[in-house]
Amino acid sequence: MSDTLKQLTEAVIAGNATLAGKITEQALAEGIAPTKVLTDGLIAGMSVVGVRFKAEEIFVPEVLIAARAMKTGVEILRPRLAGEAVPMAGTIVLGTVQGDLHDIGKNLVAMMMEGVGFKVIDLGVNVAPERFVEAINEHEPDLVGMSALLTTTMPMMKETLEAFKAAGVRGRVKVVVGGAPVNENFARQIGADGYAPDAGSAADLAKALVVTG
Amino acid sequence: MDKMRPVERIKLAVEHKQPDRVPVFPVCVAHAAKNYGITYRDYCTSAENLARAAIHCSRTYGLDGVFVQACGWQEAEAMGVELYYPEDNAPSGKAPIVKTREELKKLRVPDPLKDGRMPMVVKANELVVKEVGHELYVKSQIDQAPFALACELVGFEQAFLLMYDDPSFLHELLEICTETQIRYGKAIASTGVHNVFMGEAIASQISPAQYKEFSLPYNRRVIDAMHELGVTVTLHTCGNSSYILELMADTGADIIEFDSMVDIAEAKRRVGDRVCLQGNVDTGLVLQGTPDEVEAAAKDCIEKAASGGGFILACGCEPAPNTPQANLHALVAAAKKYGRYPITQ
Ligand code: B1M
Repeated sequence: MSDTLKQLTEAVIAGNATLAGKITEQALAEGIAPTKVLTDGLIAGMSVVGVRFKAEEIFVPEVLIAARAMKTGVEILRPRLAGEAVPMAGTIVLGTVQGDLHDIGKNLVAMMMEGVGFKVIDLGVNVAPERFVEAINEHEPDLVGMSALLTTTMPMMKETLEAFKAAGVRGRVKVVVGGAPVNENFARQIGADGYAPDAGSAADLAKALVVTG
Repeated sequence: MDKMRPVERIKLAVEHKQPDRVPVFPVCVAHAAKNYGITYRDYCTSAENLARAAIHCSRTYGLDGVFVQACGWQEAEAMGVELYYPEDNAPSGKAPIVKTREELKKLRVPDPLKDGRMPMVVKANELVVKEVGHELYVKSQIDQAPFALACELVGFEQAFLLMYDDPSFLHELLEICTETQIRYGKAIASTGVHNVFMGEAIASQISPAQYKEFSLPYNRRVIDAMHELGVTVTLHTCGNSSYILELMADTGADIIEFDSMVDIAEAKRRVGDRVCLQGNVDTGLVLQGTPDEVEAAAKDCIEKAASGGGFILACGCEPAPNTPQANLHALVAAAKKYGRYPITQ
């Protein structure tokens, strides 16, 4: 891999947004393809961060600054990527379910999704089932992502899915769920299309689901 | 059969001595409201309700202490954060109020006898101390530890970013938060409570180095001030605080209450000689498990942490509102059944 991309990866890992921006521009000036800058530079850096976070070597603040550095690079690439006719990965409507106000994890998921090319419509926290339904009708997303951090709000994921069925929109979206107390089994039980244990895998899963359609 | 007064039992544990048995004191908040048959909103907005519900909860289960906590946002509220009050759920802040240096300059240390619901909490403590203070150990919130309060005022992620972008901004804010806690703590201490409680759920999400810079020194100042008034302090963290156990002990806190993600045997080994440990049965189990499972988990905690004293049996965090009564009864029964001193490991 080129030194420039290696430096870019390092800048993302270090969470240095200014540097990540500069190196992104430099890489483009060197004639490296924008998609390559994205995958082998920015996303590669963020993947390392994801692994280190999972291994508990780094903490949320380090993930946040790394995500910000990645985003800085992505913003610079965006117009060029459009030029290369790389389509958006898709659109995702994301939110923390009703009764639940935890959003740090959900926001990391949003950043990773953006990183891999999704357009993210973030509905915030305490999102009522009807608001999810409204957002599906309004934005016609490929995916809906729900986050819950409380044992007591997990059932709200099921209720939200039922509201999708009642409103006749369930078939139009794939649904991904996550959050500390949620697991694969629960996701299957409530009829979601997928579960991801962390933000990095959520982005991978989302991509896979959109491709399989 | 219990001969010792509950307040003495906890006091001995806090002094690292062995009472007659392991004290048991899960800190109930939303569950106290539910158990008393009132909505959270009614619970957290009236001194009378707060005091009655807290006492009622301790009486229901035979707890060794009473916990007085309205919610985790009232210092922020008294400083100007607008709260949203769901009918039957804990209130929370609508939006951060300190985004710029100008806003930081305008921020004032609230007056605990005038601002927000602080006077209500002071009043509730007066009622509780008067009614049961001779018998039960009274623990009151001053709640959000300085760093946690700062997070509420600037926003959680913003606080994290400020650690990198503008630490001096954060330190200035932390000064005000520290002063807020000290003043609030003094007002509450004057009611005669035995212990004040500071929570910092968010501390489990930052690195030890960050804790050392942005949390520890400020916590220590609040705790020193409380000690000068003769009041002991509980420091609580949600989540996995294994990384920072020693640093939490370095704050000078008398009791560290920690969540079920921490291995209690390890906590005992690492800091058990310096602080009294309170914990750590999983609140998820207490909500969804059977009484037998709760009893087994409580027994496990006692076996790992009670030897030599300095231990209070509790849940890792506050139990969920609709926690079955039978499970909390089982927790208390376990303290009586397995917690008789002397206990050897
Ligand atoms: C769409 O697809 C996907 C895919 C993956 C997804 C996904 C969606 N969403 C998340 N993921 C995944 O990717 C993320 C990144 O890899 C991960 O996200 P996480 O969110 O898991 O991880 C984050 C990066 C970091 N983790 C966090 O941010 C959560 C940390 C802990 C300490 C925590 C915090 C910080 C807070 N809390 Co709260 N809090 C706790 C937490 C204990 C813990 N360690 O888990 C937990 C979750 N809280 C709890 C509780 C009870 C509460 N909290 C409350 C409040 C708060 C704060 C406001 C103080 C703060 C939230 C700040 C905020 N803006 O989010 C109250 C509830 C408010 C409400 N109605 O929601 C309150 C009721 C009050 C209280 N007693 O503490 C507990 C829940 C118990 C349970 N199982 O039901 C808790 C486990 C602590 C405990 N042991 O008691 C993955 O789960």
